[in-house]
This record gives sequence, C-alpha cells and structure tokens, in this order.
Amino acid sequence: MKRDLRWDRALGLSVTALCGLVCAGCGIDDVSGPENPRESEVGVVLNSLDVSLTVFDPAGLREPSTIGLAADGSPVGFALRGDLVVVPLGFVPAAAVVDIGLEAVRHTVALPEGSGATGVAFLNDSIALVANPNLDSVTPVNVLSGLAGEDVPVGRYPQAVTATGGRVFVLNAELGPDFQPTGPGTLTVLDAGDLSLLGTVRLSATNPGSAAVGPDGRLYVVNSGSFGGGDGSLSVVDPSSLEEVELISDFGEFPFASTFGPDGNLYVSSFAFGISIWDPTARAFVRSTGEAIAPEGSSSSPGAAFDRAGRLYALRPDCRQPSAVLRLDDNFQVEATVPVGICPIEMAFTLVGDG
Amino acid sequence: MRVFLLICVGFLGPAVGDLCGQWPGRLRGRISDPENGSPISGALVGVMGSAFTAISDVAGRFEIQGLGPGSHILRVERVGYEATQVPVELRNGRSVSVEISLNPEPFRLDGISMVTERPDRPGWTVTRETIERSGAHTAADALRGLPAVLVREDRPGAGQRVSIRGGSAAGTLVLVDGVPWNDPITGVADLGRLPAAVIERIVVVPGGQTARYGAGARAGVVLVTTRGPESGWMLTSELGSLGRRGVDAEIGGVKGDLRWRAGGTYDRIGGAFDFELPREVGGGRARRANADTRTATARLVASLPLLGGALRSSGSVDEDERGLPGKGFAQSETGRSNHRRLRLSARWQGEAVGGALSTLLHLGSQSAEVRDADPPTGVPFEEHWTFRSAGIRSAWQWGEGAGSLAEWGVSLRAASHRVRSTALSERASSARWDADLTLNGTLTPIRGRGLRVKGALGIHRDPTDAQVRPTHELEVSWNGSGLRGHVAHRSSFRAPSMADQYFREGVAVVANPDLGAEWTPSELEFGLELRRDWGRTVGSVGATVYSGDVRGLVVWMPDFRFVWSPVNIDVRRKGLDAWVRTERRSDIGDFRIEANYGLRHVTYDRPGGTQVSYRPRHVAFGSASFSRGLWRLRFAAEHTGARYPFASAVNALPAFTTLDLRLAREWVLAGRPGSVAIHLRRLADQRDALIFGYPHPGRTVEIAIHLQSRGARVLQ
Repeated sequence: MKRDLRWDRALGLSVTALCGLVCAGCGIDDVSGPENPRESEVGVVLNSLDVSLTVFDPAGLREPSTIGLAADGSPVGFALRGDLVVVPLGFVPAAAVVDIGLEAVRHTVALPEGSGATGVAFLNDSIALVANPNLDSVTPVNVLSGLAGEDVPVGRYPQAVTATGGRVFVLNAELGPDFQPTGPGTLTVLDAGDLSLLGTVRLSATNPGSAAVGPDGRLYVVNSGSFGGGDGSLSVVDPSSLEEVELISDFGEFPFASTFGPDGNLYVSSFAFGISIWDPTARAFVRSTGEAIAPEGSSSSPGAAFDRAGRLYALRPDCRQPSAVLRLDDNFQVEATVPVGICPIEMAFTLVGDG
Repeated sequence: MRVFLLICVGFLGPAVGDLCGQWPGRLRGRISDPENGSPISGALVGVMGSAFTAISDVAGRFEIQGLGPGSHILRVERVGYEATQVPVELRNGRSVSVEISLNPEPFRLDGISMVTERPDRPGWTVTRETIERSGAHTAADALRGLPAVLVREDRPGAGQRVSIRGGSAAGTLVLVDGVPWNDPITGVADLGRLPAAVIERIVVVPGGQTARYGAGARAGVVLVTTRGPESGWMLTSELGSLGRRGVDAEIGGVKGDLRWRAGGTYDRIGGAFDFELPREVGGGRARRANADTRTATARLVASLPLLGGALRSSGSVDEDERGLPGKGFAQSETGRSNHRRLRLSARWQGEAVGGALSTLLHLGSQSAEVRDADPPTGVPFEEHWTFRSAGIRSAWQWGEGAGSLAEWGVSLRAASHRVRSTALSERASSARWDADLTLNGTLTPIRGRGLRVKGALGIHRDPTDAQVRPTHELEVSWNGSGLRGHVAHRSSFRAPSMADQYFREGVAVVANPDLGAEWTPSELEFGLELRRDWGRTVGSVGATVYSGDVRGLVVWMPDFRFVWSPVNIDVRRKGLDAWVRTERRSDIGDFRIEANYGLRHVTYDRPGGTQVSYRPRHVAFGSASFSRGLWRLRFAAEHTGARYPFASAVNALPAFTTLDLRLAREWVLAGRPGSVAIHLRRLADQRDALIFGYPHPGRTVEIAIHLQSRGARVLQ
C-alpha cells in the first residue's frame, strides 16, 4: 500500500497542481501546490530489532529522530499515509499507530491473540488492514479511534497486504508450521469497501512477500521462495481479471521488497544480492541479481525507496548495531548517509504537515 | 576421673593439687574455612581465663602445651573472620585434637550480625541469620539487594538467574559446597532450585574469578555453603498467596563419630492471577494460567573423622515440575517442564605431605523434559535431556611454618559430562570435559601491618576448541585502623555452553558452532571500606569501582528474519558498588539499616554505544530492621533502574521500586522454640518486572510457622 501511495500521491499532486493553475488563472494566488511550504517530505525507516521508526529529512535540514514503538515485537513492515504510520508488531498481537508529526505512538491496537501481525495497508484515511498470518485472517484497524474490527478470513499465512483500484490484495504465503512453503502462494482479493471476498489469485511460485502496483496498473508480486533455495521470482497479476499473467524467475535468493522508480522500473531488494532492477516494459533485467546494485559494496539491502526528487535510497542493514540509509547518485554511488536503528527492514517517504 | 578430681579439689585443696597427679595435656588443632576447606593462618587461639595462646600456621595448625586437664573454652580470632568459642575437654596428660571452622567475618555487635557482610575477600557474605530474617525461599532470593547482583525471575516460582555486574547469567559460576550448580548444557545456574532452608552461608565474589575458581567465573562467583550435620529436628510450614504451600522438615543426630542430618522440602505454587496487559501490546485484561510450580527435594549430609582428617558426604535428589506460560501477550496453556536430579559428593580434608589437602569428588545425574503441544507461535515441541557428570576438585595448601609470611597453594579441577539431548545438533559431541589448574600464593610482606599480596594463575582447558587458556589475578589488600582496601587486576574467561554452540537448528533458531569464548582480558578493581565503632553504634561505608571490557559476550540475537542465534559481541564495562550499613543497640531495641547502590555502565563497544539490553544502569536496595524482645520487623525496598529491551536507546522500560515487609515473633511451645512470620511482598502492589512481557502478580502474602526441638538453633 505504501508503494501505491507514491502513485496516488503523484496523482494527487498533479490534480492539486492543475487546480493551482486553474485558480491562478482565476486570479486566486493563495493556493496549496506541490511546493506547499506547510508540508515537508520525510523518510520513514522501520528498524525491526529495536522496534522503532527512524524519521529523517531527505533535505538533511533536521537531525533524524527515533520513535520507539514497543518494548517487544518483531515488526517487518508498515504502511503510511500522511502523518500516520501503522506498524504490525509481529509476535506481539498488536499494531502501533504512530503520528510521525508528533513523534509518538498514538494508539497500540490489540489484535486477535496469536495474530503474528505482519502485513498492513491503508484502505482509506481511517482504516488500515492488518494481516494475521498465524490466524489466516486480516483485521481492519481504525487508526483514528484505535479500535479493531471483525476478522476476515483469507488464505493461509497472509503476510502482506496491498490495495489498488478499490481492491485489496492479501498475499498468502501458504507456509506450513515450520515456516516453509507448502505450495504456491495465493492472493485473496477483497473489496476495499466492505471487505467481501472477490476472488483468489493462484500464483505459480512460492512465498509471495511484497507487491507493488506498476505504471501499467498491474500488480507485481515478489515471491521470496524458500530461504536458501535461490528461487525468488516475480508474478505479474492483472487486478481486473484476477489472474497471474506472467511469472519471471531468476530473482535469486529471497527477494524481499520492491518499489517502482520514477523511471518506471521495478527495484527489487534482497538481503542476499542487493537491489536488482527489472524493466516491465522491456520485460528484461536492467540489472540482474548477479549485477545488482551493492551499496558501498554490500550485496545486502532489504529495502529501497525514492524520494520526491527521484533519488534512490537503499538500506544498509546491520542486525547487531545501528545501521544506515544510503542515498545513491545516478551511478548508484553513495552520496549521503543517514544513521538509523538496528536491522532496518523497510523504508518509504511521505509528506507531513509542518504545523 | 571427674569424681577423682572432685575429691582432690574438694578435700585436698588447690594448694596440693599436684599431689593428685594432674599432668598437663597437649592441645592440637587445625583452623579452616568451612566453605572450601582451606586452612586459616595467623589466627589467634587463646584459652579463656588463662594466658595460653597460640597462632595458627599456614596449614591452619596450632598447638598449646602445658594446659591442665579439664574443661576449657578456646577463643579463636582472626582479622576477616568471625571470632568463635569452642569448648574442649582435656584429659590428664593426653593429647587432644580439634577441628575449628571460622566463618568469614560477620560484623558483630553484641551478638547481632549485619544483614550482609563483607567477607575477607572483596565481596559479600549472606549469613544464615540473614536468610532466615529475609524470608527467602531460594538461594536467589537471599541474594537480592546485593549491589553487584541482579536476579532475574519471570514470575514467582519460575527459574531464577543471577548475573553479576552486568554479565550474563552463564558468566556467574555457582559452587554449592564446591560442586558446580551451573547447568552443563546451558551454563546457567538456576538458583530457584536451591532451597534457602539448606543454606548456611553464601559468599558472592564479583569480578573475574576464573583464575581461582575455574572457567565459568567470568563475571563472578557465588559460593554456597550448605548446612552441615546438626542434631535435633526442625519443621517449617508455609502458606501464602498464589496457592503457595510449603513444608520443610529435617532431623539430625550423632552416632559415634558419625554426625548426620536428613531433610526434605516440598513447595507448590498455583501461580494463577489476573493481570493488565501493557498498553504497548494493546492493553486489556488477561488471566495468568499454567504458571504453577511444584518442587520436592530430599537431602542427606553426614560427616565423620577419617584418616586424620574429616570426611563430609552429601546427597540430594530433587524434582520440579513447572508450567511454561510464556509471555503475557502470547501465553501457552500447554507448555511444561520437568527436571529430576541426583547429586552426590564427598569431600575429605586434612593434612598431607606437609600441607593441608582437600579433595572433593562429585557425581551428578539429571534428566529433563520440556514440551508444548500447542505453543502460541511455532510448532509443537518435546525435547529431552539426560546427562551424567563426574568431577574432582583437589586443593593443596602449604607454607613455611607457623607465622609464615608466605603461603602457597595448588588446585586441580576436572569434570566430565556425558549428554544426550534431542535439543542439540547432531554435530554436538555427546561428551565434554574441562579442567583447570590453579596456582596461588599469598605474601604478607610486613608482619602485623595487614598488608597482603595475593596472586593466582589459572590454566584452563577450553572444551569448545581444546585450547589451553591462561588467566590471572593479582590483588594487594590492606587492613588496619578501621580502614581496609584492595586493588586487584584480573583476567577471566567463559567457554560457550553446549546450548550456545550446538542448539539444534529449528524454527527460528540457528546454531553458531563458530561461537567463541567470552573474555575479560583486563579487569581492574579498587575498593575501600571504612568501619567505625561508636560504642552502641557501629557502621561501615564502602565502595568498589571496577573497569573491565568483555570481548565476545555471548548474546542471543535475531537476524532480519527473526531467526535467533548466539553471537559474540564486545562490551565496555565499568561500574561502582557502594554500601552503607549501621547498627545500633539501644534500650528500646536493636536497629540496623543497610543501603546498597550499584552503577553498571555496560555498553556495546561501538560509537555512541548504548547500555546493553536489560542491564539496568542503576540498582539500589535498602532495608531497615528493628528487633525488640521476641519481635522482629524488617522493611526492605529494592529499586530496579530503567533498562532498554533492545540493543539501542529506545523503548526504555521505566524504573520501579518494590517494597517488602516482614514481621516475625518467636515463641516457646512446651519448651520448644518456634516462630511465626508474616511476609508481605510488593507491599504497594507493584507489578513491574525486569523483563517486559512477563506479568507479575503484585502484592502477595506469606505466613510461615517454624518449630524445632530443644537445643536446636532458634530461627527467626
């Protein structure tokens, strides 16, 4: 969902800009536009081992701040919308709702016992949907009131959620009790309005772990495969027909996250090989896993994101001590470093109000 | 003979006493430390009411000649030890030998000992009296409040781990009568399985003690001395909150040269309570279930003279069954553990080859089972362990003769373990052995000035890589005019446990066979203590500062998949232990006040390194006791400082303070002394715990009733 926000936001910004031009033509000069001075862009990094968020200013004007989420947990993903971030806490059956403007946890929403809370996506400004992999269900969470709704059953071991076009796609890893894939993954498709079941997409590969909506409107699902199996792949799903239309293999060892860049390419990150680049138009690797981007020579990066200026940031993870976010130049060389917490695992950018 | 003497004295009078054939006797003896059997030199032995005195030599021996036959009382004094009086019976012209034990210096005022005492070495002694007055159930309970010690207990009745000066629990070596109590698989000593009822004294020596006590004592050593044979019987019964029921009974006697004591303990805790889930996990109420504990112990100890020395043998068998409820937000109703142990040991100590020899043999057998058919996360499991262990520890101490300025010692320790476990990887060897050779010496360069130089060199076999590793200790101490101090420099190490190295790979666990040993290559310590006596009031104040980084501290950490594995990390460590104690005896009663403070700066060795997780930087303890007549009142407060749950400075858990109150009254029933005590723990219903996620029931109440035979020691 958070990756979708970039496109949603781009669309929103475009509309706003268009309105601005129209208003300017009407002689109204006090309008908000893409350079709204009351909004600023921040990068948000989830540090999984110290259960915290690092919020940093890509312009480098402010020191990064750290927001503790909980005294226990195993978060591996988050969703953000404006000032609000929702972080499922893993083996702690709860989700933290964080106001990054206030740099504080606004709510910690209890989820069903044994949830294993992992994936999350915003459905609208007030509702986020959290996956309960241990319960094979998802739970709607009202981020404003801090209350959870009724569970909705989905496939086996849901571990990620994404939403686009009024539909919610729940990525079911189909893992067994030993956390190994028992078969190909599936997507449970729900209506974003009433969470009714619209259908199930059967994938050809195992362990779907993340998804991003491409410029072509299709859903690109990264299948992590078996850990140590080197069988990562990419499923392309038509969100209208609810079918997997293509499977691309050769995504190597346990690809973990994905995001589309301003160039329209898909950037797939992995702890094992760094960041590979797939061109969905040419249907070819720009950089395969064998020649993946290795920031600072490290072929391990669980996450990447682009700021509003189109600059690429990559996580340099260290699970024993504080790590860093690296900003890369056009040649993928490190041009700036931002200190973050321990074992950063996911990153995204958002606009927050200054006031 | 007595009749004959009576006739002589009565009818012939003292002036003609020699006519009755009184020949002087010869009194020989040996003075030793009961904890480890080592001889105590330089002790002054005097015959009360006479001018006969002697000083023990480096072998702890003394001899007094020319003493007339009859009953005498010896008074034995030694700086750093509790003075004691021993009755002896001398016969006409005969030679009599006595064995005398001196306890490390409890600080006494008119017969009242301090709550916790400083032993002769840098550390603390918890006496039997302290244990009884505190209402401790276990050895770990008795150690609460010591400035260097942190006790981790996830719930009442659960396992209790003790760490010293911010070290890992596995870095604390616990010796019970010289026998290692640490689990050979995990390396951790569960002092919750050692009932307080069997303990005579506990000495805690913080800092790296590998050179003296063997590998494993990287952060410190806990020396537990159990009670020896005693005549008479005792019975203690207890009931309290959380369904606590307990009984301890024992009986002892003397038959010829054989002295013995046998006893048993049974404890049960239901453990269920309601609690509030913390806000960080969504809040709400829940009920703690599957938190019960049942422990049963039977024990026997006997001693008799043998081959010119003394043989003490002991055996115990115990079993405990515990629920494993997990964390409050992820509870298990089916997790259980069961342990059964058999321990046997025999120690002989006496004189041999011109010195004092002590040899300890010990055997152990343990089986354990941990299972959960329906865990809150992961897959069902059922793991079994069995192990057998055998060990020997032999120490020989000698010097240059009576009043010598130097004494030397050598000790050898070896232990072998044979393990079968479903929880260990196939790569793990089923057998493991380790050994230590220690050389030590003490120099007293200036007689009578209280200045001593101690040194120890240890050579240890690391069982993980079969390498030989040296450690050392050098300590200079002085004692005089109410001021004593010491400077010490040490190195120490601890080999990884079998569980650290070879835990079977499974769901969310990966073994690390490359794991290395924990090292403290250089630890420096400086301590001072000032004691003052103002007549009816005595007091002491002291502090120890230390600095010693740890290389390769073994810590379990997850990777990005939250797969856990043990790793070596470097840690910077420095700190302060401080204490103040005072006692006053007045007409309205006896007061004693004690306060301890510990500062532990234990940080990850990296730029801006934060405090190591779950190591509170500040801990403090205070207690005030008042006794008048048959009444005893004790109020204690324990402060646990803020701590981080992870390896960075976020999500800090707030500090908390718990309050305890214990009121006891002694009484006599048909000539048999007894007592009744009521103990309120966590008086203010404080429910915080050291580790996040483990709910605590808050305030609990216990009532204990004690009864014993005539002549046995009065418990309070």
